[in-house]
Amino acid sequence: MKITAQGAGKDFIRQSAGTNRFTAVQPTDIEIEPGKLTLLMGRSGSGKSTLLNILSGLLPPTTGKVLYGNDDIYAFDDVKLSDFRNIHIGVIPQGQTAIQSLDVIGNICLPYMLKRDTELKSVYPYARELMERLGISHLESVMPAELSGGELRRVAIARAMIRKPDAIFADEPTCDLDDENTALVLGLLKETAANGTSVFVVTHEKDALTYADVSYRMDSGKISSEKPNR
Amino acid sequence: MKKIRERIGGIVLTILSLALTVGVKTVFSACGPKDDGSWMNCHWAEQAVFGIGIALTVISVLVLIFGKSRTGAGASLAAVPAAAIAAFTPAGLINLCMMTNMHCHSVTRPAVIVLSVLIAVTAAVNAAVIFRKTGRGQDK
Amino acid sequence: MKLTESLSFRNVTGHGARSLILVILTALMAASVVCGTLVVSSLRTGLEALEARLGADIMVVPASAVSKHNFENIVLQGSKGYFYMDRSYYDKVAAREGIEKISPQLFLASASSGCCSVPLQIIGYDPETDFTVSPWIKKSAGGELKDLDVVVGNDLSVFVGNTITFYGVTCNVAAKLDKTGTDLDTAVYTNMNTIRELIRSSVELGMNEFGKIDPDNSVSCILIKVADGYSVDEVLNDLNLHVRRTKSFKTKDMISGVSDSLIGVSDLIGVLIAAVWVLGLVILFLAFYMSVNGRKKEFAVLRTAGASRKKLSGIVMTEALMITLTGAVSGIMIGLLIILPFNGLIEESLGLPFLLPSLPTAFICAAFALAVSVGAGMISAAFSAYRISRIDTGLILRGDN
Repeated sequence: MKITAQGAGKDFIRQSAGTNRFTAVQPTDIEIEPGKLTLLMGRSGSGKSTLLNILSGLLPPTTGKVLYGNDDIYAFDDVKLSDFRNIHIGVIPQGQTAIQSLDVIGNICLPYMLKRDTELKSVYPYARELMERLGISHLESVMPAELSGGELRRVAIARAMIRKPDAIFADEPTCDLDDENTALVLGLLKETAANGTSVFVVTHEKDALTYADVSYRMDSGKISSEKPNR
Repeated sequence: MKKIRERIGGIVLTILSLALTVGVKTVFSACGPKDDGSWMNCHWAEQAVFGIGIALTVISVLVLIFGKSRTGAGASLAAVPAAAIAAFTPAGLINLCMMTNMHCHSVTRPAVIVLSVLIAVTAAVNAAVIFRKTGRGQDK
Repeated sequence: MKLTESLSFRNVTGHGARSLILVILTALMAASVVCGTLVVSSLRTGLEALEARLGADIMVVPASAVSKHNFENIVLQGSKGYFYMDRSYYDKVAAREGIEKISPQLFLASASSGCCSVPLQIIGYDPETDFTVSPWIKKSAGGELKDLDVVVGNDLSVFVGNTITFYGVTCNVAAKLDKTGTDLDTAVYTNMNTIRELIRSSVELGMNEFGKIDPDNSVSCILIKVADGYSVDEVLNDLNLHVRRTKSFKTKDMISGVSDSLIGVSDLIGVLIAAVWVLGLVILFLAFYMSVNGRKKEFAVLRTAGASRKKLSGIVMTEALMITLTGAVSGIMIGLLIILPFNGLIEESLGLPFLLPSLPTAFICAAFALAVSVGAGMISAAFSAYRISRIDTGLILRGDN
C-alpha cells in the first residue's frame, strides 16, 4: 500500500513554557512506496521519530494529512484507526517494548491477542518461523525479564511482522544489536520490502544506507533527499 | 518457590487436617464432663472426629510426600470420603447435647463441618488437578 | 477465545503476588460487608421476634426481684433464675381496672437434669388464660396440654413425642416453639400442675434455694394485656400505686434496653466496616494507579499493536474486575462460612436476640456485598483506566532513550 504524507507537520507546546510552540516536523511531503525500503537518517532530536509516529498513525499531525492508498487515516475515529493499525501497520518502537506478563511467543502474537479474531495457536507456526529467522527460536516460552536487549528488540521486530502488515515502521531497529544481528535484521526488513511491503526505517547508523531503496535526511524537522549509497 | 507451588495441595491439606485433629481437642472441643464426672454424648463425637482427624493427617502427609504423582492423587482422593465422615459425625452420626445453644452445637459442630468440607474440597481439587496434569493413562 | 488467552488475565496472573494481595484485600472488604449486614439484620430479626413474642403490655414481678441484677433477662429472654410472690397478688392485680387479659407464670430453673450439664429455665403457665406462649407453638402433638406434658423451646434437640426428665420427674414433649434467638429457645413450658410438681420434687431433693415456698400459692410473674380504652401508662401507674410489694414494668421499656444494645452493636459494626473500607479503597486506588503507571510503556506498545484508547481502559477495567470479583466471591464465601454455621456462638457472645434472617435475605446481603465490593474496585480502577486511555503514545515511546 502506498503511503503519502501531504504537508504533514507537527508543532508541540513546550509544557514548561505554556505558549511556547516549537515545530518538531515542518510540513512534509513524502511517499513511501510498497516494495521499497525507505530510510530516514538524522541526528537525535531532528524530528525523525515524530515523523515516523505521524506516518504510522500514532500521532495526529498539526497540519496536513496522511493517506494510505486513498484513505486519510486521521479522518478515522480512534477505534477504526486502531483497527487499521492492527491489521495494516507494524511498528517497531524505540527501546524495550515487551509486555512483561507475556512470554516471547505471547509478545510476538500480541496483535492477534488484542484483536481476538484468530485462534492464537493457529498463528504459532508463523511466529515460530519468524523466531527462526531472527535467531530467537530457543526462547519461545521465556519471559521478557530474562532476555537481553538485543533479544527483546528481535521480539519487537517479530511482533511488528506477525500480521504480515502492508507497512512496517522501524524506529532505530538495530541500535541494541551487534554487527551480525544488525545485518540479519536489516536483511529481513529488506526482504520484507522486496515482497511488497512498504518499509520505513528511521536510524542514525550510516551502514543502513546499503539496504535502502530510497533515503532521506532530516535536520531540525526538515526533510531532504539523500542519494542512496549504492 | 516452584517446589512449594507443586506441593501446595499437600501443604494445605496437612494444615487443615492438623487443625481439625488438634482443634477438636482444644479450641473447639465438645462440652466438658458433667458435675458428677460423666461425659455427655457430644464427647464421643469429639473422640470420633479426633480419630478420623489422625487418619486424615496421615493421608495428608502422604499427599505431601507423593506430591504430583498419581499416588499423591490417590491419597488425595482417599481424604474425600474420610473428611465427609468427619463432617457427618457431629451432624447426624453421633448425637450431640440436647440444648442446641450448648458449646458442642454452637462451636464444635460448625467448626468440624467447615474444616471437613474444606478438606474434602481441597483434596478433590488437588486430585483433579494432578489427574489433569498427568493424564489418566500414564504415570509421570 | 479462551479466558486464559486474554491479555488482562495474563497481566493479573503474571503479577501474582500483587494480584494476590489485592484479592485478599477485596475479600476482606466483601467479608466485612456480608458479615456486618448479616449480623445487623440477624439482630433486627431477633428483636422483632422478641417484640412479637412478648405479647404482653405490662409485666408484674415481686418488688424483691428487681434487686436481682438480671431479672429483666429472666422475664424477657428466658435467662435462668427465679423469684416468687404470693398468689394473692395475682388476684389483687386482676381486680384492677383496664386489664383485658392476665396470665400468671411460675419459674423454676432445672439443675443439671438428665439431659444436660447446663440448667435450663422451666416456666409454668396457665393454658386457660395464656396469651403469650400458645401462639408460638410450631409443632404440637395436638390436644390440650395435660399434666406432665411440656412445650419445649426451639433450641432443645428433642422431638414431639420424646420424654425429658427434671428432678426425677419424667415429662412428655407435647409441642415445640418457634425460634426466638434468645435463651427462651432453651426454656421448657409446662402447665401449673406440672411445674408445682417439679418445684415440689426440687425442694424434696434440696435443690431449690426457696426452700419454704408453697408452689400452690405462688406466682413469679404476671403478664397483662391492657384493655381497649385504657392507656398502658394509666394501668401501669395504677398498678404501681395500688398493688404494693410488686413492681410493674412496661414491656416496651424493657425491650428498649435490648434495642439500645442493638443500636450500639450496629454502630460498632458500622464503624469497623467503614474503617476496613476506607483503608481498602485507598490501597486499591493506589495499587491500580501504581500498577498502571508502572506499565505506561507497555500500554504505549499496545497502542502501536493496534489497541484503541477504549481497549486500553478496557484492559485496566478487566484486570480490576478479575481481581475484585475473585476477591469478593471468596470473601463472601468466607463470611458466610463464619456467620451461618457459627450463629449460635455469636448469639452467645453478644447476649442479644440473634435470629438469622431468611435465606432470601441472606442472599440479598451476599449480593449486596458482591455488588459494592466489585463496584468499589471498579471505581478505584476507573481513574487509572481513564488516565491510560489519554496516553500520549508518541511521547512515551520516545521517553526512554
